[in-house]
Amino acid sequence: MDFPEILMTLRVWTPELAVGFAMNLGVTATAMTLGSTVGYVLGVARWRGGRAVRPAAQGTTLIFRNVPMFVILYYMAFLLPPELTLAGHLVAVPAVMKAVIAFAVPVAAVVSDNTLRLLYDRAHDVPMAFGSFAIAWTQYLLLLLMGSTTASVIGVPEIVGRANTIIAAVSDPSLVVWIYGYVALWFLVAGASVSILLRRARARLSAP
Amino acid sequence: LQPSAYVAEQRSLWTRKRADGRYHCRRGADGTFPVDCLDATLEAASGRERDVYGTGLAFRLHQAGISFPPLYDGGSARLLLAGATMTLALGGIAILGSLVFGVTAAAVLTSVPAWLGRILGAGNAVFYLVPPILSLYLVFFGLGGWASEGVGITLDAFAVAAVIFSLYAGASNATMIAAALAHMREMTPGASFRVRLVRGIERASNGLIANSVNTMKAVGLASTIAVPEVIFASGRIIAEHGAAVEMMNFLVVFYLAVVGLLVVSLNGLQKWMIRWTSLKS
Repeated sequence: MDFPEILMTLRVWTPELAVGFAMNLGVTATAMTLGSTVGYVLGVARWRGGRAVRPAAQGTTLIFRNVPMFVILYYMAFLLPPELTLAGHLVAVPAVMKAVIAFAVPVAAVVSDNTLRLLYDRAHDVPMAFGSFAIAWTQYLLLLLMGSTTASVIGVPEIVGRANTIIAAVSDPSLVVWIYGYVALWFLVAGASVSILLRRARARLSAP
Repeated sequence: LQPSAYVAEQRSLWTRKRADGRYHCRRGADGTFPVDCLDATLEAASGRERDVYGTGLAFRLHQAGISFPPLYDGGSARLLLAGATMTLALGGIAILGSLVFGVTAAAVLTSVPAWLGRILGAGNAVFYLVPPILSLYLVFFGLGGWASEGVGITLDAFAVAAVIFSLYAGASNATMIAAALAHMREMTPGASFRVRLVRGIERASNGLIANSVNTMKAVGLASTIAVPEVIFASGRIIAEHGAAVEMMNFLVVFYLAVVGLLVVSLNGLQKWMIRWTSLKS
């Protein structure tokens, strides 16, 4: 296959990949929201909690922090049933929901640690405490966006999962590098954009 | 395809002959195969529970509703042990590789002219902005396919994973060390490069520790290209025995222990380094 044909193939499959990338963004945003809520509660419990609450929040954060996201993903995939009965109704638990829960776990740990630091900094009048929190949160958002590609291993049709499907559909081994390379380009552009925003935010924070 | 140890083992088992020249693995008078010819699933299905679980801890746990295959199945135990060893080896190599790459790349980035540093920095960013699972697929299936078709070389999955994780974490290490080196150059303009490098690594050490811990946690992704590490081994044991809860809980405990030990060791190393550099200065 010559280069114009390769470009044409990539162009034809771009909408399919774009839907997959939108799913990466959606999974990341939902997991960040869910994980941040849980993490904030854990962080506040570690700062203000009583004798029983503080070690419990500390222990939960430790477990959430030390177990790899990929293991939690498998944990959810194997142990959460595909359907649950809630108040007599059968509720489906799709793979994407399992992925969101799995990805929210490490987010909760990161937000718990950063909330604790934020509360400490505020109590000690450290300037720009919230700015540092926001930067750490955004950095993790970028990491999670990249980590969301692992959801393909449990059947979530995100961009890498769709790339695998396209590779199987076109069944031309010479295209494998091009398709994966094209997907990599999406992440490079997204990552570079977030990195530039972060650099500007840091510069603004460190400006006198 | 790489040679399969399992297929070779089964071939050897099922072609083994007794002294009388008859195959060892054949049905007996009662219609069943000898126990050592069956895998654990078939053994369990045969109803010979005591043959399967023995009479020790595995049997007592089984009666309590917990079935942890490595306790009663030699093959699973060997598979899991090999997987755990491979995880530790891959994690160790990737951490070491990421530190070597990080220091080398940072040294280069800070010693070339600024314009070249920016170009090399952008190249370095490619390694940490592409998701590692995608890099694994790209190199192992994509470039590996080309290498296999073009020059007849089959890439080794372990080596590919070691290089990918070294570069992924190493590129991030390089950014942190380069920033620390630039800071040290401003703070200690007269100091030698060696002194600046040691001080720079010390300054970036918290980030380097966090990256090393994340690398150990990330190497499980190598299971997606069939590196038989601990997650891959657990998956195979689940496929054979169906003990999903037990194996998943084992993975959680395994990683909690490994990551905990790694954090303690790296923090100890960091304290030793700070003491050493303060003594030298």
